[in-house]
Amino acid sequence: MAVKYALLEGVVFKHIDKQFLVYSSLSRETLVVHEIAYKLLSLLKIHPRTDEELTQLLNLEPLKDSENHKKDFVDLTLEQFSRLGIVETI
Amino acid sequence: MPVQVYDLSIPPFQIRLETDISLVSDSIEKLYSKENLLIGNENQFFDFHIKVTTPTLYRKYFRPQAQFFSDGKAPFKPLPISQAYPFFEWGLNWCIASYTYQYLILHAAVIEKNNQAIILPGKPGAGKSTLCAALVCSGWRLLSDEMAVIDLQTLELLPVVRPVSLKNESIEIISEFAPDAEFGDTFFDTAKGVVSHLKPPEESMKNNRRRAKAHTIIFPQFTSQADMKLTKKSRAETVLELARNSFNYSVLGQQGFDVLCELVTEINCFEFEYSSLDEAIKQFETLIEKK
Repeated sequence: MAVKYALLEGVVFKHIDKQFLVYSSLSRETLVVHEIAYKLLSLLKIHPRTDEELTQLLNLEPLKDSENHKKDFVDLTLEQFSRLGIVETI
Repeated sequence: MPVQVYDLSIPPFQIRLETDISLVSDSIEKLYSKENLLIGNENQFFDFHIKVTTPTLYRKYFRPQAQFFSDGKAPFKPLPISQAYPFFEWGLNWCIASYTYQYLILHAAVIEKNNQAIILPGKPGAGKSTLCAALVCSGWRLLSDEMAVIDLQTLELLPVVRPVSLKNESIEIISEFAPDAEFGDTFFDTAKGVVSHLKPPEESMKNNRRRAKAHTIIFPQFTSQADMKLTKKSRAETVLELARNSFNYSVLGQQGFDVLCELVTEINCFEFEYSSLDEAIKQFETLIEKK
């Protein structure tokens, strides 16, 4: 069964002007993130999803790259968010 | 010297200070005013019980030292007795930063005019205290030189009116800028260089309970001979920087994040490079609305 990613408890995010802020109560990190990463978190807020589902749901057209690279982008973002105590695998 | 006890009201805090070092009591009497003294009451509550005293009898006479105690514990190594007063001020900063969780506290100066407060966060050496001192000597009200204390519910800024700590060249700059300003003693060879304290103006002392609303956040940077430059800073970047500048943001958790995001929402944030205090003050006057 494919691994799903979920938002950790205590993660909040806010849209201020044209920038996107994320705060994790677990790691106590505050970050400014890219708009796509912000959308990814918004999707995970609804319910847990796999990286493939996220790749399909996110509008990654601006990346103008191969499907593999788009998935790499999502995987890298998820890896960073896991390290920073923002998402977890279930 | 016999032990002197000062029951100080520095809203929103109350402090009992005991000292047997005349350098401390002389500076307290010079730099604090009658608004700060609490009338004796046996059952008075104090947020901090502080003692600044010689650590041992031996150190009273041989290379005399001062030790700072908070609630009976000494969180720092002793310093030469000549630095006893700055030691009290630094120790009090530490007490407030370490034990106050009912407010969000940022490392920043705060000044106010027409109920419009400007928050000046700054890295050490950025010229925050010098600019703050020049502004309060030019009619702005001092809320604090060292910390922006923010009410978590109303987001109002609370004054913590204490002497403004000036270092090295700033002492001479402010003495020349405001010849009537009252200074305490000068302390040499401290960890921060030469230190002297500016007495807060009477008007600021009289209003030391009046809160203010944040109007602007300015990150000052003194650069010798630079042309003055006021550059808009993004609100999100401001939140990040304020979080880094906060004493208790990580303790407050999400509440701290929410407060900072809400604080920046309706105000302007700038980076400000300056080399002339006169120009800087004129610029600050243009930022607030006249009433």
